[in-house]
Parts: sequence; structure tokens; C-alpha cells
Amino acid sequence: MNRYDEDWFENNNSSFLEYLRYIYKILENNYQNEYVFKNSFLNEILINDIISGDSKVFSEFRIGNAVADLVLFNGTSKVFEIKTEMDSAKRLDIQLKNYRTAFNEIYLIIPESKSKEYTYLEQEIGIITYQPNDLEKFKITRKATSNETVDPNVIMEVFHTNEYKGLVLEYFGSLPRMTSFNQFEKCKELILQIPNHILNSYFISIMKRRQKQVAIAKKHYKEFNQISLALKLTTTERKELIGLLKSPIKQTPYVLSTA
Amino acid sequence: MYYPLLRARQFELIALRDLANTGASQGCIVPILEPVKESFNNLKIALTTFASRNQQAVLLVNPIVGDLYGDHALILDYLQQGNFPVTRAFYYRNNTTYILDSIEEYNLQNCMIICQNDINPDDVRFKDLIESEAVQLIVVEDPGRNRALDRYVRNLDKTYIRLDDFFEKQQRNSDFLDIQEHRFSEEHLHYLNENFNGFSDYTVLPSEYSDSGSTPRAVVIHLTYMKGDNQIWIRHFTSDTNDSIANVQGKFAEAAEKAVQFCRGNNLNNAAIAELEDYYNRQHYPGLGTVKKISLKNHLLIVQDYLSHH
Repeated sequence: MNRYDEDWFENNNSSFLEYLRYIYKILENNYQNEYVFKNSFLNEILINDIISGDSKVFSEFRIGNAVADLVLFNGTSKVFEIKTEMDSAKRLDIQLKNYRTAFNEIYLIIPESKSKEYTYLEQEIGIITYQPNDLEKFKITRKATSNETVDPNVIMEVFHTNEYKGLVLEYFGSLPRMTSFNQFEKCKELILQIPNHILNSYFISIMKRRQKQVAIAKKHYKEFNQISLALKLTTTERKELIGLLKSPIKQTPYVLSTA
Repeated sequence: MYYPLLRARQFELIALRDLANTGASQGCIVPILEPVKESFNNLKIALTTFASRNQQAVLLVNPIVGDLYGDHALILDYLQQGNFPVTRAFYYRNNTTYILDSIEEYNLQNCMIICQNDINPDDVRFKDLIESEAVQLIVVEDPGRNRALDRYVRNLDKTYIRLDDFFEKQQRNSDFLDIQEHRFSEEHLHYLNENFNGFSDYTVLPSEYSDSGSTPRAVVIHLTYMKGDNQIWIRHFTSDTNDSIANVQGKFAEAAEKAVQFCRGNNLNNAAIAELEDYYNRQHYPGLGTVKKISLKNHLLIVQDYLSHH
């Protein structure tokens, strides 16, 4: 990093914010790591739906034995798996297997240069390619086919206690006799009886309710949108973070040397 | 005397309050508390309880972990303003000036110094501090690792306490499934013979500080108990269904079932075990904080029971 940083050591007025934006730019142009990839995708594709509140997006969503990079809930559920230049496809089979159990549409986001390596995937899986230098950075090269069958056992493990209890109460009108030791099993028995497409809709609406509105912005500091999403920052918290980053680097030079 | 070294967090403090309120810990247990959170609400309740129940306690004023890390006056000010009659303790890390200045400024006496075992006892600044009149209690971590320091402290005619780290944390909670039980501690048997005035450890909690707790895949109840020859053993009661983070209540049920069966089969009983049995009988999941509290309280009661009879 030193060769990029030299100028910043010299300049008395640089702030952390400017430095990070500068680094972001360098990464964007030369080394699309997962942060840049995710952040661009948020800014280019998902941002309007998130800001309007129609969609709720989760970063790092645990499902079965996998953790999905980005998951979106609106009228349907979509999962986006990112494979950058640096990622291998090693875990992809396991990831896809888990994603099929809970999400209606699965998309793989890959660099355009790698698109040939993924042609073997089933037709139902959508493919989005990334080309950082194009005006339109992300292109849907193949649309995903929707599959609305979900595995209630997997869904059950995603729900928080108050969510599965709330679902049973809402659908069946009352909770069964149970203790905190057996409430999971008792509620699961009932949830397994809910018709699958209805459970799918409940899953989507419950997840939309779980995720609060995160503070992301279309114009200002959009390099920091993914961090807002990952940390679930409120408007106040985001302002605070940006405010802190605006402080000059010089006050604590050792931070720079570890960057 | 037993000096358990604990972070001043909610459930640690509740355990200590429970014991002080029932009069169990007075006279044989003196907790050393390290504040780690900016809010002192829980600490205040505990310190007030200690004062009203004549429970001795020690407070670390320059924490080495958590939000209050560093050599500062925040905790010293707080204790002085609240007029809390607790012993002040300092971590030593080449900060003689800070400690001696604090002692002078707050007019402290009977202070405790906690030392790592990498200190050179010929270090003049260290000796200035340790030999000062205001320092009366000295804790040395694993003193067998630094014989020179050990010999030096021994000859000072001050209260000398050894600190050990017994709890063997596993990478994942579910790893405890393969470890049923093992010998935990026997300092209570030997510390007096080996000419220590007290012994200290991190109890059944890891010494490593972690602030980020995520939902675990396995629930473990760690219970210490006295074996025939007065050695303290630890048994790990671990849930079996550990393949996801869902249903923590059910995992607690599995672990509690094992723990309660073991305690019943071996006639183990005290206030902490009774509490666990009550949750088990009512099939009520009390939360992971309470699980930690029960483990800690049980351990303190085991040590207390031994010390008050020997």
C-alpha cells in the first residue's frame, strides 16, 4: 500500500474519509474485492428498491450450512452469491443446495471474464456479470427461474423465537400448550402443516419486518453503503461515522501506518 | 482467601450479589472486579450491596480490556465520589508513575498490584512501587514461571496472591461434547502450605475477554464439584443438537437434563444447583446470561464451602 499512500503522509489536511474514498477508487479500478463488488451492486442495482422501502436487503444471511452474500426480500426472495476474481467455486455446490431450500430466485454475480467457467450451472440459476469499466457495470446475462417451494425445516431455523411464535399465532389463531424447552418442536409441528406457498409468503414478510431501514444514500458517500448495510446503521449512526471519518489523519499517524 | 478475578459484567455481578446477600461469600471470597463497560449501573448496585453486607471487594481501576482500557482516573473518581469502601487494584505494566501519582492524588492505602510474570524484579521503578507503603496486596500471575520475582515478592511481608488461569476454552462450544470432565483446580489445598496468603483465578470463565457474543450452536453448562480428595473437578454438560443456531431453548434443555441428572446421581447440591433444577423442573429457559451466572455461582460456592470448613 505504501506506493499509494506516500502523498497522504505528506498532506496535512487529509481526512480518513478522503483517504478511504481514495483507496476505494483504487480498489474499484484495480482489484475488485468483495467489498467493492457488493457495494457497486448495491449502488447500481438495488439502491432504489432499498431507499423506497419496498425491498429489505441483508448482507451475510445465514441459511442452513451456508452464509449468503446478499439476500433481498420484496414480493419474492432473491439470493445473490458473489464470486470475485479471487474466489474459487469450491463451496458453490453446497451454497446453492442451501439457497434452494429457502429462496425463490438464485443469482450468481461474477466478473465478465469468468462467465465461461460457470456455464455448467443449472438453467434455473441466474447469472449477473460484472464489468467495472462499462457504463452499465452489471448485466443480467441469464434470468433466474423462480422456485417457490421452500423447506420448512430450514425456514424454521432462520426464524427467531418471537417470529415463529408470532407466525403460529397469526396462522392458527392461538399458541399450543408448550414450555420454553419444547416450544420450538411444538411450533415446528404446526408450521409444517402450513401450505408451502403460504409459508413462502410468510417467510418473506417476516424477514421484511425483521430488517429495519438501513441508512444508505444515492449520492453522498456511496462508497460506504455496504458498510451501512453490514452494520445496519441508522441515519444518525451513519452521520456519526462519516463525521468521525472526517477528522484529519495527522492527529493519529500510527493508524495510517497500519493501513 | 479466594480472590476470583472477574469482569464487572451484569451476570458476574448478579452472582456476586446473590452470594453476598445470603452471607455465603463473606470472609472467604474477595472478588477482584475489572470494569469493562462505560455504564456503571450494574456495578453501582453490586458495590452498594457489598457495602451494606460487609462484603470485601477489589476494583481494578486501569482495566486492560474492554471499553475502559487504560491508565486513567475515571474509575478512581467514580469510587471516590461514591465513597465505596473497596480496595483499589492496578495492573502493572511499566506504569509506576501513573500508579504512584494516583495513590498520592486519591490518598489511597492498602492497594493491590496485579503483575504478569514477565517482570524483572531488579527493575528499580517496579521496586519503588511494590515496596511503597500504600501497596499491600500483590497478585502474580503463574508465579512458578518467574522464580526471581516470586522470591522477591515473598520476602516483602505483604499479602501475596497467586493468579492462575484454569478454564480451558474450546474453539467452539460443541467441542466440549468430547470432554466430559477433568481436574480443574487444587490451589485451595496448597496455597497456605506454599506460603501464599491467597489464590486467584478466572473461575470457570475464560481469561480472554470477548465482547461479541453471537448465538452459539451448542449450550454448555460448566459445573465444578469436589471430588473425594478435595480436588475441584469440572464437568461440561453440553447439548447434543448442535448443527444450527436455532432453538437455543431446546439446547439448554438437553444440557440441563444432563447436568441435573448428574447432580442428583451424585448428591450435589447448593443454591446454584437448586436454581438450575428449578429451571429444569419448570422447563423454563432463563437465558444464557443466567446459565453463566449459575456456573459461576456454583464454583464460588464450591470453593467457599471448602474454605469455610478448613
